[in-house]
Amino acid sequence: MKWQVRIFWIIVSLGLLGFFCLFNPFIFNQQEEIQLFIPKWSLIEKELFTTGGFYTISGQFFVQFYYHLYLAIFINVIIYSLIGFTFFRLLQRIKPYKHNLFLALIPLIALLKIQLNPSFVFDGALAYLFIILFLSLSTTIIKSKKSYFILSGITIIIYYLLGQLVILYAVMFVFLCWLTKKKNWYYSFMILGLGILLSYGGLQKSLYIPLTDGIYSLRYQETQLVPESFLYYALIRLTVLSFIIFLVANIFNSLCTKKRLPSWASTLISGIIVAICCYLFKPDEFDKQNKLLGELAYKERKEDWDGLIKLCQNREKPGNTTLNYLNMALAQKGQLGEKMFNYNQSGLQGLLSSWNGTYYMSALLSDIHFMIGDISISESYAMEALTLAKRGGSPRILQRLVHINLQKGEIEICKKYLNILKQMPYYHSWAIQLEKDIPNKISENKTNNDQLLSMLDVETLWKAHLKKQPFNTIAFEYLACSFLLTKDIDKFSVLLREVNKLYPEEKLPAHFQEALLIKDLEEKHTYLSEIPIENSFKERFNSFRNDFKREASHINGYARIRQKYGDTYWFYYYCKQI
Amino acid sequence: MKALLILVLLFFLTACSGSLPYAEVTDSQPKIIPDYREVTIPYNIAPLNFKLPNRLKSILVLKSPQSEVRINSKNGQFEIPQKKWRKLVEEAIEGKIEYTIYTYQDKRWLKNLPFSIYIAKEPIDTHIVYRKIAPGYRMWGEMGIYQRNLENFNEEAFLTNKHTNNNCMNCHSFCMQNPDKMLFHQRSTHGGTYIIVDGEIEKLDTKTNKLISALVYPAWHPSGRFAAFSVNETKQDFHYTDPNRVEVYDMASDIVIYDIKNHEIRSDSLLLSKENMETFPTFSPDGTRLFFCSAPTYPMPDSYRSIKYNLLSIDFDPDRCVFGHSIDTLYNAANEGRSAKFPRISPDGRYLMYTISDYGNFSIWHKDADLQLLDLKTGKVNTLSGVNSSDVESYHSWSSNSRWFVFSSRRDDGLYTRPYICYIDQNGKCGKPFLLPQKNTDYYDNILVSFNIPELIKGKIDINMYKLTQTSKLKKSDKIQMNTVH
Repeated sequence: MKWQVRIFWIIVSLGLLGFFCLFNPFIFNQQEEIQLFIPKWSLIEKELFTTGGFYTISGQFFVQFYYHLYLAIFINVIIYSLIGFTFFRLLQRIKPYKHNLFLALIPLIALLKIQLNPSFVFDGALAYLFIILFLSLSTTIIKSKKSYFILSGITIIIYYLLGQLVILYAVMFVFLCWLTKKKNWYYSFMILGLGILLSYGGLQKSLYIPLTDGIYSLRYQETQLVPESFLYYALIRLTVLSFIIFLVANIFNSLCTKKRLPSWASTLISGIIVAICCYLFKPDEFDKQNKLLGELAYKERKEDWDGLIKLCQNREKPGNTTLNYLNMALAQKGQLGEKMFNYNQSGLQGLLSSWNGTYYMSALLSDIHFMIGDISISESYAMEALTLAKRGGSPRILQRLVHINLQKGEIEICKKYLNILKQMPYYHSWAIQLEKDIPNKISENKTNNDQLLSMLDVETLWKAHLKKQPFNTIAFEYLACSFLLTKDIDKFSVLLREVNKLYPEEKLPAHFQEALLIKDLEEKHTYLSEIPIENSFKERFNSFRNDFKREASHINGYARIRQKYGDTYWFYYYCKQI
Repeated sequence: MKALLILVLLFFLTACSGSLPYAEVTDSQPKIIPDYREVTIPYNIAPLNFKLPNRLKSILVLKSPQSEVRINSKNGQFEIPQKKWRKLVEEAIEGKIEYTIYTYQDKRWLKNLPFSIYIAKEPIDTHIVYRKIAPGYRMWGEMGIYQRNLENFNEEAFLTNKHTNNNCMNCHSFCMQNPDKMLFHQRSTHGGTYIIVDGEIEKLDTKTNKLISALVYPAWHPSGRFAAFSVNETKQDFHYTDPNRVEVYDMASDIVIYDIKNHEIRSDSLLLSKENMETFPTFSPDGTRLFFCSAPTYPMPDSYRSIKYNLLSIDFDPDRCVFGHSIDTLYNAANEGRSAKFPRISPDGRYLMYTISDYGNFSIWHKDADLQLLDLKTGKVNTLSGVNSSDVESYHSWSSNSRWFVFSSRRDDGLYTRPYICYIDQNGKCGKPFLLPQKNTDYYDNILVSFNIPELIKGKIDINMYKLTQTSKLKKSDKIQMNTVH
């Protein structure tokens, strides 16, 4: 069976590789982004020697390498393969059968599903691996009553490494001892008692939050500010699932041993169970949405604007957050006014979403406002994101704050953030380079026109940018497009008149010309004397007007209009409900 | 042979005793981080560990009147052994310790100009309590109230929001620096005012229909029988270009007294006016006077720069829990042109320290905020120029012997609040303030939290966090009513 086992686990590893490449890479990036881990002994020493600190420090240590996605995938393939294989070895220790190969996949599949949730951190996978490794070891060394005393010593070590997760280990150990009818199995309750006692002692000293916090609902877990709560949620459920698998394995073992069920049949049934689990635990819409958002955030972070735009193409109904990323990418490419309505826009929220109090929205809004030039607003969102990052901070947000404070001339705080980033391996070079450039990068564009932001609306704020030199094209396009999205053609045309002579490009973007034609029509062709529109737009607009009149009353008229003019502002203005 | 033996012995002795290297003498003091040069410290403070800006091989020589300690460093970071430090400072009480630093650079040793640290004869209270919180704007993340032993580096959590379902906690306050008599608030989940006296915890729901909010800024009456609170309708906003970043202002505020024994809130019409905003109460050490700040109400937020707080006081009769009829003005904002807040009186009743800035009341976000000291005996105002910096100095509190005060400052980077400790003698003369020392000299560089509401206390708060969190979660709040307005 050995070669079969090897091949099986190689295939599983390849399967994991495929899964992580397909579903996970950007979730890894998100995990790396929300932790501020400085691999310096003086900083990690205290937590490492705290009960349960070992697995959290280990988790963060690995996650720092998630900066490189291929490295993240590699680490996870290794760890998850180890989890599956160790669980298999545990089942084999109970009774060696082929069906254990499939049964060992079940907790792996469940864990793969859980780790798609953005609240999950890698520590959870490591903790589960440690638990089943120790279980495997414990079941090996049980030979007599005396070995339970040795196990008590091991329990204390597990408590030190994993904190109150020792209870999960102890519960599984008791169950396994009972299930496998170990001699003097009831001594295993001593292990459980010790685990509970140690955990209770730690709770009394408030070393950690209670394990029972993991019982609460998923919704509760996702609102917690620290990741431990969700880890407990995940690991408690994995423990229950492990019980079920041990039970099923035991039933199969019994049936096979008594020849009531042929071995091939139990293997087949296990395979079917695995297939059902794959179906039950397959990534759902929420996971797919997270994957998309993770990919968008990743491409934005890498400034891969073309890749970001490509990702949004052919999306029938992109959500507002997706549109925020898309519009940002278009603006970065100088194509917002040119191509915005080539995509299915859905109003102002698609240009600038409302803040929802999450890390990712805070980071996105900070980046958008920074791009436009709203430095104060950008900083406010960046500070929110830094506060909301579940693992002590975010190196990506620190980078943003460095840029913001350089603009503001706040050098000391820049140095503080750079000093932290210098100590993180993947940010070290960036920080060193920026530190050298500090004297060259201080912004001279200070203004004394202060007001409180609640007294300024976005329109006033963005208009103020247009008075600065050099001309802020991005702010202009955002402001103009905000009017277009709300169908406020009057404000749009006033704006165009005001900045006409300041606009540095030779011709106006396509959608602006399209919108001006609408204004001209409404003003009975008196409007366009100052601002030139290309003839091709005029001709196409006439064509649109004729087609619109003809198709408006037909059943499939909308679809036909959309097919022909869906990439124009006219379609949005006349046909889209917002 | 004998001569050779003696030479060898001499060689080893010299090597073991580590004589100082030959060094060129410079005429400048070295820059150290934190800047502990020429500060005045209490003899019971933990070692003032520091580092040099550059990672240089260096030697530190500390000299007290009776002994000398040498510390070698490979990287310019000096962690002074606690026992040796204790011995040095005890020998130098009312004197000084001289610091000489040798640095190795460009293949030679340099001996920098020595500087001194002065040791006051009065000790400081043994503990300081503060909240550690990220300087976020709207949201909060992990936070906690911590107590730090000033005589060593031990810091313990009094309560962290990890254990209280991520709520907010603030406004810890102690009766005459007594750790056994304190209160604080929790907001959001498990919300309420928690009063802890000798280990017994009371959880109060202080929101009433008659007041504009639950109780906010606290101040104990020295007897422990009452606590004054402000009630505030507070808003937060952000600046478009002002380097102050954030603006926090009150739309309305009043002052009330909570009677701890009778579980009722009382006040006076002079402290509940609609035309003015009364806030930041504090009692005199003899308990017969209430000091507070007040500003005329203006339409907000349009007039946020016009709000300037006066510093006022009114008589208080603790036996009958009633206020006097007239209000005295100690700082007239209209005349002086600035705004006063956070009045705190030294326990000996001699000095009143307050914070001053151009306008408003939430001065931690005002870079122009400074401390000022009013001598209640002579009426003179000391602008504390040796204490203040070009950045924020704001919240402050006194030690029980009135010889030390701790205050919040953002002088290091302009954003993260740090606790500074300063000596003040009987004549009101202040020493140079020093940053709360840490064991690790890189500590402040790597943390992204502010130290909020630093309060000196005479001992350790002896309450189990588990008991506190269980009380927070399980105990029902006692609803408090407002009974009397005179």
